[in-house]
Amino acid sequence: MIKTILLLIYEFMKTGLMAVGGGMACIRFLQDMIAKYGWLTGEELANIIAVAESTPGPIGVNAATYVGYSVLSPYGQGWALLGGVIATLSLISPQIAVIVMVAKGLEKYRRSKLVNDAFDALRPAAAGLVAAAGWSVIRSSLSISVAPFHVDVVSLILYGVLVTLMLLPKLKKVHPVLFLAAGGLIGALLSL
Amino acid sequence: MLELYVTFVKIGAVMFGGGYSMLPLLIRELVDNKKWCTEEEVLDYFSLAQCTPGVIAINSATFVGYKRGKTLGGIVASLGVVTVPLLVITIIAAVLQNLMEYPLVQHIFAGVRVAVAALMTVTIVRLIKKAAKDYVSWIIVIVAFLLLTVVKLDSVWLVLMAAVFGILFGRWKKA
Repeated sequence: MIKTILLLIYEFMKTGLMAVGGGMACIRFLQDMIAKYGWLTGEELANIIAVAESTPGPIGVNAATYVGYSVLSPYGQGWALLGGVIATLSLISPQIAVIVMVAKGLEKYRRSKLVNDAFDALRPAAAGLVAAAGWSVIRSSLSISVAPFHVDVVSLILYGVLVTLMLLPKLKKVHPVLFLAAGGLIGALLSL
Repeated sequence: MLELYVTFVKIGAVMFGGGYSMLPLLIRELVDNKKWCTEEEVLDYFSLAQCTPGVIAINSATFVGYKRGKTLGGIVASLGVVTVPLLVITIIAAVLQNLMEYPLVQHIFAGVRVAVAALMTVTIVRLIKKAAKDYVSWIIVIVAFLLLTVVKLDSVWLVLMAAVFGILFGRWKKA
Protein backbone atom coordinates (compact mmCIF):
# COMPACT_ATOMS: atom_id res chain seq x y z
CA MET A 1 0.00 0.00 0.00
CA ILE A 2 2.88 2.37 0.80
CA LYS A 3 4.05 1.75 -2.75
CA THR A 4 0.62 2.73 -4.13
CA ILE A 5 0.64 5.94 -2.09
CA LEU A 6 4.12 6.85 -3.31
CA LEU A 7 3.08 6.12 -6.89
CA LEU A 8 0.00 8.34 -6.43
CA ILE A 9 2.17 11.21 -5.20
CA TYR A 10 4.68 10.75 -8.03
CA GLU A 11 2.09 10.42 -10.80
CA PHE A 12 -0.03 13.36 -9.67
CA MET A 13 2.97 15.64 -9.17
CA LYS A 14 4.06 14.72 -12.68
CA THR A 15 0.59 15.58 -13.96
CA GLY A 16 0.53 18.95 -12.20
CA LEU A 17 3.95 19.79 -13.57
CA MET A 18 3.51 18.54 -17.14
CA ALA A 19 -0.16 18.74 -18.13
CA VAL A 20 -0.09 21.76 -20.43
CA GLY A 21 -3.64 22.69 -21.49
CA GLY A 22 -5.56 22.70 -18.21
CA GLY A 23 -7.89 20.17 -16.63
CA MET A 24 -8.79 18.46 -19.91
CA ALA A 25 -5.10 17.73 -20.52
CA CYS A 26 -4.89 16.27 -17.00
CA ILE A 27 -7.50 13.70 -18.11
CA ARG A 28 -5.01 12.31 -20.62
CA PHE A 29 -2.43 11.91 -17.85
CA LEU A 30 -5.02 10.09 -15.73
CA GLN A 31 -5.67 7.73 -18.66
CA ASP A 32 -1.92 7.11 -18.92
CA MET A 33 -1.61 6.19 -15.26
CA ILE A 34 -4.62 3.88 -15.05
CA ALA A 35 -3.34 2.05 -18.14
CA LYS A 36 0.14 1.76 -16.62
CA TYR A 37 -0.88 0.47 -13.18
CA GLY A 38 -4.31 -1.04 -13.94
CA TRP A 39 -5.84 1.08 -11.16
CA LEU A 40 -9.22 1.56 -12.87
CA THR A 41 -11.00 0.53 -16.07
CA GLY A 42 -11.67 3.00 -18.89
CA GLU A 43 -15.36 2.93 -18.03
CA GLU A 44 -14.69 3.71 -14.37
CA LEU A 45 -12.53 6.66 -15.39
CA ALA A 46 -15.25 7.85 -17.80
CA ASN A 47 -17.69 7.77 -14.85
CA ILE A 48 -15.23 9.80 -12.79
CA ILE A 49 -14.93 12.37 -15.57
CA ALA A 50 -18.74 12.52 -15.73
CA VAL A 51 -18.91 13.28 -11.99
CA ALA A 52 -16.01 15.75 -12.26
CA GLU A 53 -17.82 17.64 -15.02
CA SER A 54 -21.13 17.84 -13.21
CA THR A 55 -19.95 18.92 -9.74
CA PRO A 56 -18.56 22.32 -8.69
CA GLY A 57 -14.84 22.92 -8.93
CA PRO A 58 -12.12 22.59 -11.56
CA ILE A 59 -12.42 19.34 -13.57
CA GLY A 60 -8.75 18.46 -13.08
CA VAL A 61 -9.00 18.81 -9.30
CA ASN A 62 -12.31 16.92 -9.08
CA ALA A 63 -11.01 14.05 -11.19
CA ALA A 64 -7.76 13.88 -9.19
CA THR A 65 -9.63 13.67 -5.88
CA TYR A 66 -11.89 10.94 -7.24
CA VAL A 67 -9.07 8.86 -8.76
CA GLY A 68 -7.03 9.12 -5.54
CA TYR A 69 -10.10 8.02 -3.57
CA SER A 70 -10.83 5.07 -5.86
CA VAL A 71 -7.24 3.84 -6.00
CA LEU A 72 -6.96 3.56 -2.21
CA SER A 73 -10.58 2.51 -1.54
CA PRO A 74 -9.75 -1.27 -1.53
CA TYR A 75 -7.82 -0.56 1.70
CA GLY A 76 -10.87 0.92 3.45
CA GLN A 77 -12.82 4.15 3.70
CA GLY A 78 -10.21 6.01 5.77
CA TRP A 79 -7.43 5.29 3.30
CA ALA A 80 -9.70 6.21 0.40
CA LEU A 81 -10.33 9.59 2.00
CA LEU A 82 -6.60 10.08 2.43
CA GLY A 83 -6.04 9.01 -1.19
CA GLY A 84 -8.27 11.82 -2.44
CA VAL A 85 -6.42 14.39 -0.34
CA ILE A 86 -2.98 13.08 -1.36
CA ALA A 87 -3.80 13.07 -5.07
CA THR A 88 -5.23 16.59 -4.94
CA LEU A 89 -2.34 18.10 -2.97
CA SER A 90 0.21 16.32 -5.17
CA LEU A 91 -1.50 17.73 -8.26
CA ILE A 92 -1.57 21.33 -7.10
CA SER A 93 1.77 21.68 -5.27
CA PRO A 94 4.12 21.69 -8.29
CA GLN A 95 1.75 24.12 -10.04
CA ILE A 96 1.81 26.51 -7.11
CA ALA A 97 5.62 26.37 -7.10
CA VAL A 98 5.78 27.09 -10.84
CA ILE A 99 3.33 30.02 -10.62
CA VAL A 100 5.13 31.57 -7.65
CA MET A 101 8.36 31.47 -9.66
CA VAL A 102 6.62 32.90 -12.73
CA ALA A 103 4.91 35.60 -10.66
CA LYS A 104 8.27 36.75 -9.30
CA GLY A 105 9.55 37.43 -12.79
CA LEU A 106 6.24 38.12 -14.49
CA GLU A 107 7.52 40.50 -17.15
CA LYS A 108 10.57 38.38 -17.85
CA TYR A 109 8.44 35.27 -18.30
CA ARG A 110 5.96 36.99 -20.57
CA ARG A 111 8.66 38.48 -22.80
CA SER A 112 10.88 35.40 -22.81
CA LYS A 113 11.52 34.31 -26.39
CA LEU A 114 12.14 30.76 -25.15
CA VAL A 115 8.77 30.54 -23.40
CA ASN A 116 6.88 32.11 -26.31
CA ASP A 117 8.54 29.83 -28.85
CA ALA A 118 7.86 26.75 -26.72
CA PHE A 119 4.20 27.70 -26.35
CA ASP A 120 3.76 28.24 -30.08
CA ALA A 121 4.21 24.47 -30.36
CA LEU A 122 2.77 23.55 -26.95
CA ARG A 123 -0.65 25.08 -27.69
CA PRO A 124 -1.40 22.88 -30.71
CA ALA A 125 0.23 19.90 -28.95
CA ALA A 126 -2.10 20.46 -25.99
CA ALA A 127 -5.06 20.49 -28.38
CA GLY A 128 -3.85 17.12 -29.72
CA LEU A 129 -3.46 15.88 -26.15
CA VAL A 130 -7.02 16.85 -25.27
CA ALA A 131 -8.26 15.30 -28.52
CA ALA A 132 -6.56 12.02 -27.58
CA ALA A 133 -8.16 12.17 -24.12
CA GLY A 134 -11.54 12.84 -25.73
CA TRP A 135 -11.14 9.98 -28.21
CA SER A 136 -10.54 7.59 -25.29
CA VAL A 137 -13.70 8.79 -23.56
CA ILE A 138 -15.71 8.58 -26.81
CA ARG A 139 -14.48 5.04 -27.40
CA SER A 140 -15.45 3.79 -23.97
CA SER A 141 -18.75 5.75 -23.87
CA LEU A 142 -19.98 4.45 -27.22
CA SER A 143 -18.41 0.98 -26.74
CA ILE A 144 -16.38 1.42 -29.93
CA SER A 145 -13.93 -1.24 -30.98
CA VAL A 146 -12.05 -1.20 -34.26
CA ALA A 147 -11.32 -4.86 -34.97
CA PRO A 148 -13.83 -6.48 -34.99
CA PHE A 149 -15.75 -3.29 -35.61
CA HIS A 150 -18.44 -2.56 -33.05
CA VAL A 151 -20.31 0.50 -31.84
CA ASP A 152 -23.34 0.88 -29.60
CA VAL A 153 -25.85 2.31 -32.07
CA VAL A 154 -28.22 3.90 -29.54
CA SER A 155 -25.33 5.67 -27.80
CA LEU A 156 -23.97 6.79 -31.16
CA ILE A 157 -27.32 8.37 -32.11
CA LEU A 158 -27.60 10.08 -28.72
CA TYR A 159 -24.02 11.31 -29.12
CA GLY A 160 -24.75 12.72 -32.58
CA VAL A 161 -27.89 14.48 -31.41
CA LEU A 162 -26.12 16.00 -28.39
CA VAL A 163 -23.11 17.24 -30.38
CA THR A 164 -25.45 18.84 -32.92
CA LEU A 165 -27.48 20.52 -30.18
CA MET A 166 -24.36 21.80 -28.41
CA LEU A 167 -23.07 23.34 -31.63
CA LEU A 168 -26.34 25.20 -32.35
CA PRO A 169 -25.66 28.91 -31.89
CA LYS A 170 -29.00 29.34 -30.10
CA LEU A 171 -28.09 26.77 -27.45
CA LYS A 172 -24.57 28.10 -26.83
CA LYS A 173 -25.68 29.76 -23.60
CA VAL A 174 -27.25 26.58 -22.21
CA HIS A 175 -25.19 25.35 -19.27
CA PRO A 176 -23.24 22.14 -20.05
CA VAL A 177 -24.52 20.53 -16.84
CA LEU A 178 -28.03 20.56 -18.36
CA PHE A 179 -26.78 18.46 -21.28
CA LEU A 180 -25.21 16.02 -18.83
CA ALA A 181 -28.49 15.80 -16.91
CA ALA A 182 -30.37 15.23 -20.18
CA GLY A 183 -27.93 12.44 -21.04
CA GLY A 184 -28.53 10.80 -17.67
CA LEU A 185 -32.30 11.04 -18.04
CA ILE A 186 -32.25 9.53 -21.54
CA GLY A 187 -29.86 6.84 -20.33
CA ALA A 188 -32.33 5.88 -17.60
CA LEU A 189 -35.36 5.96 -19.94
CA LEU A 190 -33.68 3.84 -22.63
CA SER A 191 -31.87 1.55 -20.15
CA LEU A 192 -28.63 2.25 -22.02
CA MET B 1 -5.23 35.85 4.70
CA LEU B 2 -8.49 34.42 6.00
CA GLU B 3 -10.41 36.69 3.69
CA LEU B 4 -8.29 35.48 0.76
CA TYR B 5 -9.00 31.86 1.70
CA VAL B 6 -12.74 32.40 2.11
CA THR B 7 -12.96 34.27 -1.20
CA PHE B 8 -11.37 31.38 -3.08
CA VAL B 9 -13.41 28.78 -1.20
CA LYS B 10 -16.43 30.62 -2.58
CA ILE B 11 -15.04 30.71 -6.11
CA GLY B 12 -14.16 26.99 -5.96
CA ALA B 13 -17.65 26.18 -4.71
CA VAL B 14 -19.61 27.93 -7.43
CA MET B 15 -17.48 27.29 -10.51
CA PHE B 16 -18.81 24.59 -12.79
CA GLY B 17 -17.22 22.86 -15.73
CA GLY B 18 -13.60 23.78 -15.23
CA GLY B 19 -11.17 26.64 -15.70
CA TYR B 20 -12.88 28.60 -18.44
CA SER B 21 -16.03 29.17 -16.40
CA MET B 22 -13.87 30.77 -13.74
CA LEU B 23 -13.08 34.02 -15.56
CA PRO B 24 -16.42 35.83 -15.03
CA LEU B 25 -16.40 34.68 -11.38
CA LEU B 26 -12.88 36.03 -10.85
CA ILE B 27 -13.80 39.39 -12.33
CA ARG B 28 -16.95 39.69 -10.23
CA GLU B 29 -15.32 38.66 -6.95
CA LEU B 30 -11.85 40.17 -7.26
CA VAL B 31 -12.47 43.27 -9.35
CA ASP B 32 -16.05 44.31 -8.55
CA ASN B 33 -16.47 43.10 -4.95
CA LYS B 34 -13.02 43.06 -3.33
CA LYS B 35 -11.22 45.52 -5.62
CA TRP B 36 -8.01 43.49 -5.20
CA CYS B 37 -7.06 43.64 -8.88
CA THR B 38 -8.02 45.52 -12.01
CA GLU B 39 -9.86 43.72 -14.78
CA GLU B 40 -6.74 43.90 -16.96
CA GLU B 41 -4.70 42.16 -14.28
CA VAL B 42 -7.24 39.34 -13.99
CA LEU B 43 -7.33 38.86 -17.77
CA ASP B 44 -3.55 38.87 -17.79
CA TYR B 45 -3.28 36.26 -15.00
CA PHE B 46 -5.87 34.16 -16.73
CA SER B 47 -4.05 34.11 -20.05
CA LEU B 48 -0.76 33.36 -18.28
CA ALA B 49 -2.49 30.57 -16.35
CA GLN B 50 -3.09 28.89 -19.69
CA CYS B 51 0.59 29.22 -20.61
CA THR B 52 1.72 27.33 -17.54
CA PRO B 53 1.18 23.63 -16.82
CA GLY B 54 -1.67 22.22 -14.76
CA VAL B 55 -5.23 23.09 -13.81
CA ILE B 56 -5.99 26.64 -15.02
CA ALA B 57 -8.12 27.51 -11.99
CA ILE B 58 -5.29 26.68 -9.58
CA ASN B 59 -2.83 28.70 -11.61
CA SER B 60 -5.12 31.75 -11.67
CA ALA B 61 -5.76 31.44 -7.93
CA THR B 62 -2.03 31.23 -7.20
CA PHE B 63 -1.35 34.37 -9.25
CA VAL B 64 -3.97 36.40 -7.37
CA GLY B 65 -2.94 34.93 -4.02
CA TYR B 66 0.70 35.75 -4.72
CA LYS B 67 -0.20 39.34 -5.48
CA ARG B 68 -2.07 39.66 -2.17
CA GLY B 69 0.29 37.75 0.10
CA LYS B 70 3.39 36.44 -1.70
CA THR B 71 4.11 32.68 -1.58
CA LEU B 72 1.86 31.97 1.41
CA GLY B 73 -0.95 33.87 -0.30
CA GLY B 74 -0.54 31.69 -3.40
CA ILE B 75 -0.79 28.53 -1.31
CA VAL B 76 -3.78 29.80 0.68
CA ALA B 77 -5.74 30.82 -2.42
CA SER B 78 -5.13 27.46 -4.13
CA LEU B 79 -6.13 25.52 -1.04
CA GLY B 80 -9.27 27.63 -0.99
CA VAL B 81 -10.19 26.55 -4.51
CA VAL B 82 -9.82 22.83 -3.73
CA THR B 83 -11.60 22.83 -0.35
CA VAL B 84 -15.22 22.42 -1.49
CA PRO B 85 -14.46 20.11 -4.46
CA LEU B 86 -12.44 17.85 -2.15
CA LEU B 87 -15.37 17.53 0.26
CA VAL B 88 -18.05 17.17 -2.42
CA ILE B 89 -16.15 14.57 -4.47
CA THR B 90 -15.25 12.52 -1.41
CA ILE B 91 -18.89 12.37 -0.33
CA ILE B 92 -20.09 11.53 -3.85
CA ALA B 93 -17.41 8.86 -4.26
CA ALA B 94 -18.40 7.24 -0.96
CA VAL B 95 -22.12 7.28 -1.82
CA LEU B 96 -21.73 6.18 -5.44
CA GLN B 97 -19.61 3.19 -4.50
CA ASN B 98 -22.75 1.55 -3.09
CA LEU B 99 -25.23 2.97 -5.59
CA MET B 100 -23.25 1.67 -8.58
CA GLU B 101 -24.69 -1.80 -8.02
CA TYR B 102 -28.18 -0.67 -9.07
CA PRO B 103 -28.97 -1.11 -12.78
CA LEU B 104 -30.83 2.23 -12.85
CA VAL B 105 -27.72 4.09 -11.70
CA GLN B 106 -25.64 2.26 -14.30
CA HIS B 107 -28.08 3.31 -17.04
CA ILE B 108 -27.99 6.92 -15.87
CA PHE B 109 -24.20 6.88 -15.94
CA ALA B 110 -24.14 5.29 -19.39
CA GLY B 111 -26.21 8.27 -20.59
CA VAL B 112 -24.09 10.86 -18.80
CA ARG B 113 -20.92 9.29 -20.24
CA VAL B 114 -22.30 9.77 -23.76
CA ALA B 115 -23.08 13.41 -22.90
CA VAL B 116 -19.53 13.85 -21.57
CA ALA B 117 -18.17 12.41 -24.82
CA ALA B 118 -20.29 14.93 -26.74
CA LEU B 119 -19.18 17.79 -24.50
CA MET B 120 -15.52 16.87 -24.92
CA THR B 121 -15.98 16.71 -28.70
CA VAL B 122 -17.30 20.27 -28.75
CA THR B 123 -14.49 21.46 -26.47
CA ILE B 124 -11.91 19.78 -28.70
CA VAL B 125 -13.34 21.41 -31.83
CA ARG B 126 -13.12 24.84 -30.17
CA LEU B 127 -9.60 24.19 -28.83
CA ILE B 128 -8.31 23.09 -32.23
CA LYS B 129 -9.92 26.08 -33.93
CA LYS B 130 -8.10 28.33 -31.47
CA ALA B 131 -4.73 26.54 -31.53
CA ALA B 132 -4.39 25.52 -35.21
CA LYS B 133 -4.05 28.73 -37.14
CA ASP B 134 -1.47 27.70 -39.76
CA TYR B 135 -0.18 24.54 -41.47
CA VAL B 136 2.56 23.84 -38.94
CA SER B 137 0.21 24.00 -35.96
CA TRP B 138 -2.31 21.78 -37.79
CA ILE B 139 0.44 19.23 -38.34
CA ILE B 140 1.42 19.42 -34.65
CA VAL B 141 -2.20 18.79 -33.58
CA ILE B 142 -2.49 15.75 -35.87
CA VAL B 143 0.95 14.30 -35.10
CA ALA B 144 0.36 14.77 -31.35
CA PHE B 145 -3.00 12.97 -31.59
CA LEU B 146 -1.54 10.08 -33.62
CA LEU B 147 1.52 9.70 -31.37
CA LEU B 148 -0.73 9.43 -28.32
CA THR B 149 -3.42 7.16 -29.74
CA VAL B 150 -1.60 4.95 -32.28
CA VAL B 151 1.96 4.85 -30.93
CA LYS B 152 0.62 5.23 -27.35
CA LEU B 153 3.41 7.63 -26.45
CA ASP B 154 3.46 8.77 -22.83
CA SER B 155 1.97 12.29 -22.52
CA VAL B 156 5.05 13.57 -20.66
CA TRP B 157 7.24 12.85 -23.68
CA LEU B 158 4.79 14.54 -25.99
CA VAL B 159 4.85 17.74 -23.91
CA LEU B 160 8.66 17.70 -23.74
CA MET B 161 8.98 17.05 -27.49
CA ALA B 162 6.58 19.86 -28.33
CA ALA B 163 8.45 22.31 -26.07
CA VAL B 164 11.80 21.41 -27.68
CA PHE B 165 10.30 21.61 -31.16
CA GLY B 166 8.90 25.05 -30.40
CA ILE B 167 12.20 26.32 -29.05
CA LEU B 168 14.15 25.00 -32.05
CA PHE B 169 11.69 25.94 -34.80
CA GLY B 170 9.46 28.47 -33.04
CA ARG B 171 10.28 31.09 -35.60
CA TRP B 172 8.02 29.51 -38.22
CA LYS B 173 5.24 31.88 -37.25
CA LYS B 174 7.34 34.93 -37.80
CA ALA B 175 8.97 33.66 -40.96
